[in-house]
Amino acid sequence: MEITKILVANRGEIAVRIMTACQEMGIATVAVYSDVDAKSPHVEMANESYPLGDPTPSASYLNIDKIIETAKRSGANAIHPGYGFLSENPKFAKACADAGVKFIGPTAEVIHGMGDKIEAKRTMRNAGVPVIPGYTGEEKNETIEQACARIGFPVLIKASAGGGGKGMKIASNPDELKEAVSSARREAKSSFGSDELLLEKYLPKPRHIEFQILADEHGKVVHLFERECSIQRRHQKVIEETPSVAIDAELRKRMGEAAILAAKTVGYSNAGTVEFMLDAGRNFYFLEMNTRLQVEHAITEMTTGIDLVKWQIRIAMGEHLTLEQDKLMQRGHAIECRIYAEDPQKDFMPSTGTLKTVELPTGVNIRHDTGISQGSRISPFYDPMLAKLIVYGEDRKDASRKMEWALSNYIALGVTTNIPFLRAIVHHPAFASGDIDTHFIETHFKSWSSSETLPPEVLIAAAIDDMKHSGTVEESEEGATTQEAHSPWTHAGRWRIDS
Amino acid sequence: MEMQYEYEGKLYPVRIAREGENYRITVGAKTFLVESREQKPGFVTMTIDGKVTKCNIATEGRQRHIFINGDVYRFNKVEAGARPAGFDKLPSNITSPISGKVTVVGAKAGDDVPAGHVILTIEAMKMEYQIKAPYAGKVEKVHFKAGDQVDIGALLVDMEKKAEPPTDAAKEE
Repeated sequence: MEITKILVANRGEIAVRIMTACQEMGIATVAVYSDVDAKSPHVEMANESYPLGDPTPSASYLNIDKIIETAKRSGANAIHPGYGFLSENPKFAKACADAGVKFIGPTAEVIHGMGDKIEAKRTMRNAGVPVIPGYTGEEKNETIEQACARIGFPVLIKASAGGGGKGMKIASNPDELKEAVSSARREAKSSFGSDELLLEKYLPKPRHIEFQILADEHGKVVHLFERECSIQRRHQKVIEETPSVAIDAELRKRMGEAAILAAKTVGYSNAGTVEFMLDAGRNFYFLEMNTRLQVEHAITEMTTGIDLVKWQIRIAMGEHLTLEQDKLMQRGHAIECRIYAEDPQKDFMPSTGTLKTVELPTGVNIRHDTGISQGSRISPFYDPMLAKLIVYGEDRKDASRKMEWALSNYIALGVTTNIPFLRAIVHHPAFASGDIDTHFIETHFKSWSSSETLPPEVLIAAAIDDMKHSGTVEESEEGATTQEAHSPWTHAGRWRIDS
Repeated sequence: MEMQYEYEGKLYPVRIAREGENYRITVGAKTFLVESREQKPGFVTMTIDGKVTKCNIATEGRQRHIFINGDVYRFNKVEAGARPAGFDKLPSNITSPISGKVTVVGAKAGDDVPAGHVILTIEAMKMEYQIKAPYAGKVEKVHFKAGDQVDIGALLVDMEKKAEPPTDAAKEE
């Protein structure tokens, strides 16, 4: 099937990323946007764009009917969902199929199967993919207490319908278990409407290692190596890198084979990611499968030279994968930092406002994926991720230094960002030595704050700037005392900065 | 001329005077001779006692955002004669720290609430933030209802602080 026009059912940096691939392939693009995104780069870049109205996600980017109708109206014969929003919604994939529009991703059945974490783990265990010892509620005649005795403390208690860390508790002994279970049930009920719980062995210093896979619609699957995403905060990834310092060629081969087995087991097609936990004893366990393009896909692209979005589109057109596993190679090292509009000194509270100044670091092998620009208003409606800064170096040390340099030269004023926090992480000796796990941030950055005092050069800069502008005002006041107090001319000196 | 800036609850007085093309600036006990050139609006190269520093400045009302040596500082200019913000002993009302949508209202006018009581829950960027009573007291007015959109800085709640029995700390004041 020839794809001639793609509707991108997303916003921000990922919509821009997908449209870039479409343009390079000569495929027309259709943007959709909510009211607050009318002037966003993804809208300006598309060949056609259509409003979705109300910025509330459920009314706009999550509105299946409106998006399908827009695809039909615009004549798009495929939809790329990006990540987040509708990307892992089997109803959306099915609605696309029913409307005769190609969904760029796996089938609705596969999305559904992997979306249910209990079912996904059972499927994988049965197929021989290592799964973390646990309790799914369906073990015959086993209570949670008995399951704990079998698994061994400490255990992690999770909401089976959950995500994002909500409702997660750790219990180290039977006493803590009772309290943790009842509190997890309450949180799960209120957050997800279901108090069903999962239990699994808690790994003390686990790493998050995931494998990128590509699968065509004819049964061929390859993996494109791992990404280590251990630097997380509240189960949200912050910094990702590839390759991982924790795995060698032998382990990489075994984990890659397990990822391919996982994909083949469910009849996977298109790009996907198999997430594993790796413990200190080099044991790995299947965590979940993400049936979509990942935020951090760029580091795989930097080290393999393969454009994952283009392959997604080619696979959706029915093309055969021409990549051969034994010919695939990774070169060098890539790191990604997620730039968030949030205040690390105020418990990472999202920050909104207008980006007044944006100046990006440029240089050899620095990639910046973003969907915002100078003058953009950061609204409270969507995810606070502003951009992704990705660097490539010949080795990990080279890449880390380049990242630190790039962060130090990344200017974004007007909205508080996590850039100083990212710099502090990349600069940390534990990061430099590769001694990282999913508790890295809580271990080393429990109460992080940047500077508590203003250095003299900051005060000097402010004073000179203020003196220049007060000079303008003073002069005009002297010269034209009869002018209206609110005449813009008396404030001419402030125009450039507030505009 | 003299200026004052406020950052993290501390005041920073700065004295500045022109000296030909340059500036003589006193910060704390130290005086610096500074040459400053604006490369383009907001982008400044300063030579402070012979050392070159580049910085970027954006302002928004009283607020200053300055990028220097890879760090961003956000602080306020204290206008002459104005009472510096953040120096009131206790806020008599509560303003929103974020822009978002009110999802839950946990108190109404006339309620006596303990310190830490969650008065409002605001959802922004898929996360929830709880607005808690900063002290025990009586809620006088809640300015928003569930479903309302609030902007950063908006007045959310009027509260009256409960009178405390005099303590040693209070006597000192």
